[in-house]
Amino acid sequence: MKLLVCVKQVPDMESRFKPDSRGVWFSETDLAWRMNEYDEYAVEEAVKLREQLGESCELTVLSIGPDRVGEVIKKALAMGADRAVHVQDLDAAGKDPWQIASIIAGYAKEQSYDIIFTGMQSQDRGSAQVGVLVAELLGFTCATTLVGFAFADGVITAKRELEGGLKGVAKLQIPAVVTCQLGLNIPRYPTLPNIMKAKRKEIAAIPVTELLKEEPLAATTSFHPPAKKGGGVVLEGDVGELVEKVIAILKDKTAVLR
Amino acid sequence: MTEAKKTVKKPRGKASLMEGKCIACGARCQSVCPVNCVEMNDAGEPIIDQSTCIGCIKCVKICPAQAIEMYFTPEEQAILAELVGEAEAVTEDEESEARSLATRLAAYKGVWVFVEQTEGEAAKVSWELLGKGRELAGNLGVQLSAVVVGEGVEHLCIEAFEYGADQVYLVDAPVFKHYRTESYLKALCLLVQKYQPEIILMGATGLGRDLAGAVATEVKTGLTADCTGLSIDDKRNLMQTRPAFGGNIMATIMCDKFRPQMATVRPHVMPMSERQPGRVGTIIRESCPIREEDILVKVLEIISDRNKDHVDVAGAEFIVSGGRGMMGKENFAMLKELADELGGVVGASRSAVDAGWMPQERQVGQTGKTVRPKIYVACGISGAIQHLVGMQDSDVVIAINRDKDAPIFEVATYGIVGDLFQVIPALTNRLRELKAARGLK
Repeated sequence: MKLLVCVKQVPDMESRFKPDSRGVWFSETDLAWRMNEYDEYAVEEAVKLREQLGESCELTVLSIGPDRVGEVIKKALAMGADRAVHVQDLDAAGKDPWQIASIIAGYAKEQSYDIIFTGMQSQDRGSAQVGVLVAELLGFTCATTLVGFAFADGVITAKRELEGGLKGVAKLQIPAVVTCQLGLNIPRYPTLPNIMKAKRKEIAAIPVTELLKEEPLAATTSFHPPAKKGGGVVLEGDVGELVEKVIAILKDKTAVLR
Repeated sequence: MTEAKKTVKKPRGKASLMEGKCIACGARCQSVCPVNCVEMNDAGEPIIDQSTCIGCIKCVKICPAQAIEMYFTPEEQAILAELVGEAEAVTEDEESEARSLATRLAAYKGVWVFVEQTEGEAAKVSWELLGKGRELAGNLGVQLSAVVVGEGVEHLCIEAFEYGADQVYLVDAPVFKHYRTESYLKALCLLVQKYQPEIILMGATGLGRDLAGAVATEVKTGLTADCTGLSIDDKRNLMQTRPAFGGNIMATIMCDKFRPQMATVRPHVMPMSERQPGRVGTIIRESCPIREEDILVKVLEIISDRNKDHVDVAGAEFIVSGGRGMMGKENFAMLKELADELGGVVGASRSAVDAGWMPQERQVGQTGKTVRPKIYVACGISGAIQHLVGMQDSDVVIAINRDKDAPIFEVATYGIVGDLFQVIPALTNRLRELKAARGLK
């Protein structure tokens, strides 16, 4: 069995984002970086499957970006991936989901993976497309938004989150792509011995030009902070007065007291 | 071309504010200026220092009110006119290319909305999209079509007409009973190739995200997920605006070289359009040659947890939400009482969910649900941007928080700086009194 997990490095969401000089992405100065949260669940699920299947199985982690993405690759290796692929690309952030998916598919098509794991979406661009696109490009089956995963006898049983509290259970033949929702599992913390071990694992570097032959399909044309709604009315007074004011609003705006 | 002309530099002009157009949007021009030549006056309007301005036009681009223009002196204007004359020869080539692109794109006509259904029941987001689609189709002067795929789903066509569709493409066969990417993908691609729409809208639900991605790959076009704003530009392109970074930034995305333009929109982002009973249209039936045996994915069962005291936060009209300020799980009982009086439900911020005080399906925000109830009562929620993007479109937001600087007050219609442990029970009691009094009458 060959498994692949795709991870993205994203800025910490607590950061303050400012559009960059091109006005289509954010400026990367003063940002702290981390692994995309959704991808952490994907790595954990892939590592669990790797442990379930034992030595006959190999788990590769793939990430695209400049040198700094080495950090997330190392984290995935320390969590339990066997080897890594770093697609070197200084302008990964400027690529649309179609190009990113083409890069991943371009690498994966030579490797005959059985299952590809990834997060449901990234925390920064959040397009939630890459997993589905990769599956389409490779002709794999695909299930998105996983909240449950089991694998036995070449068949994946995937529990998907649907709308309004519904869950769907689907069986998939491999090869397949699955995208993971938050809460699928509890991502482990890399232990110190595993961090040390990870340092000896192989990281293959591939320049992006070898894998990407596609032009973007969509272009970002502007990038700006959301319009702020004007601040509202501040209600004042003691508790009794406040309650009367809120009741007045409810009477005015709703049918609760009519 | 003479030597002298070559040395002429293209004048870049200086930014200048057009009188009376500034809407005091919050100093976007100032924040974007790379040379800090913009200062803000007390009215929130920019004062541009033209001696330092380098003419980068960033402020012009970012201004939401088009209140900033580039100013050229008469001499500069003369140089510009001359340069334009020179450039014309070069652009002719590009023009023919642009024309062929335009003809290619013009073959695609009409706005489509994919109607998502589970067991014959349409997802509300589809009707919301028909409302938006109506507007876009109106702007473009084309027809609005709905696409209905399933088994025994003809009743949805009638509903689609009532929500604004001019026509419905119906693909009805047993193989489409349950959603599966492969079968739905085939059906949709067939329709797209045959009828060539220019815009396809889908709900950004589990199903819609899945299907939209697959269709976009198959027909090789661009897709923008989770849009919050859709409009048409002067070249008939769809301008798709979506939040990135959990709502910290809005990005506008265009797919101007490929058709159809595809976008998904999260539920409750667009307002529901009014239903017009009795409105009719044309149904276009299509069959899709696909056999059950060809599909690898099998749906075993649909598990509903609706019966076990399930609460749909996303669909509620009144939401009383609690955050870290609730101090503990037991205090949510207080919110439940208020929600019951209002006929609403209890929601939660991410910190309350992470603390285990409320289940995950009650979470409102970027990773939870997007809601737009009539009344949203935020109790002890500071208002992290990830939370705000999930609820800021509520009709009325009432925020109760002890910290007067909490960001929640920036989106609140009414803010109460005070102790929610006093205000909430008092409010619940007062509501009960009033209801009881009304009952006696």
